[in-house]
Amino acid sequence: MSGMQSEDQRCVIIGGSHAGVSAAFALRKYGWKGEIHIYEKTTYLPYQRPPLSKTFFYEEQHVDLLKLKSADNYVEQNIQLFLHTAITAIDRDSACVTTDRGNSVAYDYLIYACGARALVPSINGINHPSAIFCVRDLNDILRIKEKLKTYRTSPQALIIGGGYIGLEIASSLRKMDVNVVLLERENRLLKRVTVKEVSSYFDQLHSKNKVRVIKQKNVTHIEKAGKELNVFCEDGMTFTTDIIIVGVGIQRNTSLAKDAGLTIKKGIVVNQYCQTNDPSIYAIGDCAMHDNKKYKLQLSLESIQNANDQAKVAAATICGHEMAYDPIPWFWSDQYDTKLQTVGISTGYTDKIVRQEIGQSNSLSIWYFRDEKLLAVDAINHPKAYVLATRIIKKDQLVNKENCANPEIEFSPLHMIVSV
Amino acid sequence: MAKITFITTDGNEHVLEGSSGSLMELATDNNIHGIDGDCGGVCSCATCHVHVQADHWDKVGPPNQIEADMLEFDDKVTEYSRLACQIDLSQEIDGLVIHVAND
Repeated sequence: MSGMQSEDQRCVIIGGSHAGVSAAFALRKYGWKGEIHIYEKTTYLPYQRPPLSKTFFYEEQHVDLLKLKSADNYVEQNIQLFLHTAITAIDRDSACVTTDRGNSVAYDYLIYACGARALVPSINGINHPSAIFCVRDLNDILRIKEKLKTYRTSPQALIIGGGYIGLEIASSLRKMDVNVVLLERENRLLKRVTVKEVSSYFDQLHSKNKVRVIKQKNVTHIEKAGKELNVFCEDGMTFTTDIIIVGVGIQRNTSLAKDAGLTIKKGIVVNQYCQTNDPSIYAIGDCAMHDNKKYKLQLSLESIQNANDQAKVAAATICGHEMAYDPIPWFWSDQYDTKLQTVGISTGYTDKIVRQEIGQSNSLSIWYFRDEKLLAVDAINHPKAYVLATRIIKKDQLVNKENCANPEIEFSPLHMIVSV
Repeated sequence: MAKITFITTDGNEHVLEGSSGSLMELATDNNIHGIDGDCGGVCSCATCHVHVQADHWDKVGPPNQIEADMLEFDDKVTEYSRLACQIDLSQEIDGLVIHVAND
């Protein structure tokens, strides 16, 4: 098990992702003395993903600004970063990985941080790489930005998918004065992740910003027509557009783990220490699935919080420290001038309170309860609600529901929390 | 070039120099413990909470609205609280001393 470690040992990290890079630096923080290798298949210095659909998309920013750590940081911390090097196999019997350059690299501990890739829906004719784009990594965004630059007048974009990615892209495109149609298959936006009040807020926000939001539209096929694309829906409706951006979800990159015989459900199954069924192999970030004690759910979370916190737990465990993964998940999305912040997991809530602050029509918070227990809060333009809810969930305090539901009552810890 | 002193919760002083970006970026580039900057500097996470040394408060001034809202109910808030991601590095803050709020 962990604890005993020397300079002769090596920790290999697959994936220069948020999770992978955090794990590398956390290993040093927690006292790892051995080698650290990160293998990343792309050529970019590991970068931040959240800005890709937001500021980096609509502003003219240099790629350097996205870096998670400077090249010097890796050198200073003696972390060996192998870019443009993919891992093609994990051999658990001999505890080594194989690179796409044919090298075999032995590991004492392996951290699997391969993330996820964009899900490409099975729509006939979706394969026009010059005009149909996914939104997942830096290359996707650079290609979209290049494409947009080829138009002299505002082009027409069609987004398939009204989840957070689709909506953030819509917001960014509008800031660039691109005309946007957004098609959602369900009867409301964000249906998979939130309640109708939040859906309705974002529907209005996008409509106000001249995005044509059309729901219950199932795209069946796409045809190229000269420089344009024709998009056909199940109900016979058609759209003509210059480019298509697809944001309909992800697929976890679990194939290497699967080939190595690790247990996979929705993601790679890990225990509270982020260990897989092989105790020398850890899985962290988007690709992992953990058993969340607080919420009693098996969760695969796609978020910065999950990537960073799991990285810390894996690193601490490898270094022999006692640290379990017991997070209060948090998440945010920025669209136009709206900030949504979510804390907790609302799954299984029995009742909810929608609080609209008086005199601040944009400021809304939705409080999810299982009986008296606060599970989660969605805070729209309401950082105070986000921070206070985080505190309440962390300390297992009780919300004064009556006050919470009454916007006449000042929003403060004194009024919102039941004192015991 | 501005010289900034970060004092971490273990009492250690780290003197860093930088000329662009934010104080959060300066801290994360130099692995200052207690400043994570998880959200990348968009005022969404409050993992870069710092206390500005009282007699240096005028150099940085008060927080903006979102920042103030993020800080108001934070357990470690003081009257000198700021989020390091919202403070730009410039000659004007040369010599600043800040205390990192979190471990």
